[in-house]
Amino acid sequence: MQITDVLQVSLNKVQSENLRRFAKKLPKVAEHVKIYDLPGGGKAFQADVRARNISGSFARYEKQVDARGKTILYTKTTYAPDGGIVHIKFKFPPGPAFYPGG
Amino acid sequence: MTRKQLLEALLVSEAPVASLLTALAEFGWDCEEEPVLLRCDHVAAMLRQFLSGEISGRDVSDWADAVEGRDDIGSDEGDEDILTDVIYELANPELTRPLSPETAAEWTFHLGSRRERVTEAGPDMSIGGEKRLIPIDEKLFGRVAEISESEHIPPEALIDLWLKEKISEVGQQIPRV
Repeated sequence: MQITDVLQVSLNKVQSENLRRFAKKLPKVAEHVKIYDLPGGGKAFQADVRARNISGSFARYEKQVDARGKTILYTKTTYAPDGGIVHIKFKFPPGPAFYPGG
Repeated sequence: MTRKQLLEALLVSEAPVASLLTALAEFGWDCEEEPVLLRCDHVAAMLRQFLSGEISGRDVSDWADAVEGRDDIGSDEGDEDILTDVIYELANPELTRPLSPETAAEWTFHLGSRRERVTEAGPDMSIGGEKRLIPIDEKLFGRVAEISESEHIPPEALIDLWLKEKISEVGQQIPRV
């Protein structure tokens, strides 16, 4: 899994270690990991995985860590080809899946 | 329960997934301890429960989604690739293919093949499956092989699936002794 730093995003040691674990656990077919700044020094790691069966559909794995590198949120959002959200699954903290269609 | 006990319960689906995840959340997501290992037989056991009708495809998907990507769950050495693939497929049926008796039988066969190879690697391995050799009429097997090829399912997995279906059917009429 390749990791792509976005712009001038810099990570501290604990955040880097968390990123390495995130990338290692992604599906093999995941695209490059993107990194974004969050308010307060936190970072978001994002990786998309394209659907095998429906062109344009994909899942976005996103982990958010705080300034100390601790994971505060991990979601997996599945998108339809038109960009609409099929569902959001909350890996951490755990919670019921969110289905926008009801 | 300790984190390790909760994870072991999750891997064998010993309690409802949602309640185990809630309990595990108390420990946070990050893990500095040695991860608990997911093995091929954990996944195969879930698929066998699906094949026997004990659990639904949704149950399997929820379980795989709960296991997928966790910091505190690792993969058995040498089986990382197949375990990543099977968990990804089971956790994301909308992006891959829906779970069906055929796909479950296919994965069970592949996961079983891994287990047999591991068992053959050394006599001290504690995990392994038993094989029974049962003669099959040549013409009958020829027909099985044809169906196997057209369905893209290995003949062993196809026979295994059909036997399970038949046993389940007959089992409803004949009580166990």
